[in-house]
Amino acid sequence: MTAEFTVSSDKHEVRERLRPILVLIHETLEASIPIVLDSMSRQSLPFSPFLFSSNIRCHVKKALKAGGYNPEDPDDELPLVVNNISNDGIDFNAASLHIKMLKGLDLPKASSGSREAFYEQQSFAFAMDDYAEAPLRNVVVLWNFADSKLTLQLIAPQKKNGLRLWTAEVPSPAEWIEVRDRLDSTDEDLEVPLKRKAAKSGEDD
Amino acid sequence: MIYGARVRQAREFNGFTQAKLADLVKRDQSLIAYIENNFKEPSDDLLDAIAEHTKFPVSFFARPPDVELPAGSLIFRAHASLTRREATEAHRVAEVVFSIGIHLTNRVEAPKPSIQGRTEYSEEAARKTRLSLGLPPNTPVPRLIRTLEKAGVWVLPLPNLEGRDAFCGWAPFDNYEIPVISISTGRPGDRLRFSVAHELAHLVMHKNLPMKGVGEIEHDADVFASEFLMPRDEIYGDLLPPLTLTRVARLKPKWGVSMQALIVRARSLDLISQRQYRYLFQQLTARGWRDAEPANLDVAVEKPRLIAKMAEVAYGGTATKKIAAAMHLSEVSVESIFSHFAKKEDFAEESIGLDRKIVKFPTKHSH
Repeated sequence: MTAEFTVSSDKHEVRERLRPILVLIHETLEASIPIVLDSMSRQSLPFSPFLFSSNIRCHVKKALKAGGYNPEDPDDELPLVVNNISNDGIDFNAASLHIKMLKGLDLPKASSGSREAFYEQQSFAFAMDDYAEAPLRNVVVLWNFADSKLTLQLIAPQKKNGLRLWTAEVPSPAEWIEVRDRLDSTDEDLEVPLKRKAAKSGEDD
Repeated sequence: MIYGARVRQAREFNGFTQAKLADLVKRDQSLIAYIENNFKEPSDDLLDAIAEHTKFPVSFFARPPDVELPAGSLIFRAHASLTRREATEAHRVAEVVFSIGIHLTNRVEAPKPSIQGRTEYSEEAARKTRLSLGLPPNTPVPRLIRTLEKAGVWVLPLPNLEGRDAFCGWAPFDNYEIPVISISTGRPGDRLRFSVAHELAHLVMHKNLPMKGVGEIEHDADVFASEFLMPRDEIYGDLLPPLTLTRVARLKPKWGVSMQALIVRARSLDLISQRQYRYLFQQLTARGWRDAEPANLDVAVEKPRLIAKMAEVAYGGTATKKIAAAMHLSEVSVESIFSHFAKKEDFAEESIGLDRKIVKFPTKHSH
């Protein structure tokens, strides 16, 4: 597959390209967090970060697998392929990128050989002179929920120790809405209809 | 002859206490009180000083008080920061704007009010009022202020009045009463619309103050405003669970109300639990959206038009000079007042039309 981006690509361009999926993930998280918290509370379970994250992942994976995105605007679709991986991790491909979704505020260090390769963009180009032209293959969507605030970051990893090429904050979709079109209603009479009274004698016009 | 009521009106218009005005004109407060109660006439020097500090022409004080906007019927929106002095100041400013409108009725036929008092419970009153205004039962209201003005409601914009939103009342005039809503400028469009709908509720339901507590009256008005701007039959489908901030944001431009109002509406329709309601508000707070919602969702601010149009019809233009002379006001004051009204040329740029906006955004997905 031809890479759409290089390691020098603007992070905002990458984020914009992934926008339909990031919005989908964000909204799924927004919807599922209270559901999961409610469910744990109803079962009188003590809060377990593992159980919480695992449940949330399940919701997100289901949403991603549902496929098809914005029926109101087919141009806004971004096809994706969800990969089946062990330990119910979230891993998918879209826009020539391999994307992993992880939880936390910071990119964790790679703890396996495959994760190391993922972080290092499966490329030897970083050690070479033409590194700027190396394809950007892998990105991470890092999510976190603390103090009632949901945060999402899009990260292009670079090294196995968690060093990154860049980080792009993912805004809430509420801040991303674009009012694109206007229905024309020029036939509507905006004026308040008024009539002038007949002038009284002696009045100054 | 100098009218004490005019001195009080000019003083309160500026938000001065008697002591403050006395201080400015270097006289005793008791003298100001005597003048305002017509027990004493001010000297020419003192009148000049009062005129200078209140920025009203001397001739204003010699003009008999005209039609009054009854303060007793004004119902202020609950606002913690609103003091009695601020309320009086707001009332006085409204009175001046209102008196300009009354002056213009000498030359122009103002629309006769078509809204009426209702005794039904809030939601039913809102539905019937929509009907009487010729609005479809279940759609967003694109131009609220213009709709009310066409129904004979005078909407008065009050400049430079921080800390208050709106108030209303029925003002006796000739052989009928004019429904008047005074609004404070500088408010976000969504909040302004809700305030106007809230005041409409007071006009319709609380014309004769019912024997209810202020809290209950305000609650009734909020329920009315919610149903008026977000009719149950249509908004219900829009707010079906799962309700997220993203979905609420998507609905804001459609309905022209704040995200907060939509969440409250969802709770009142029992579409979200108290816990979900709290969770959504916690998220709003965490993002700082309780104070200012995302700018990309801003609802355009609709300006009142009626009195400016009356001036245009009466004088063939705003005619600041003629109105100032007739009303014994300074030209600057009249200009300032008219700057808050929509002009004819504003219509081309007006983007109040909520129904004209299509938000391209994903529909909700299954979980």
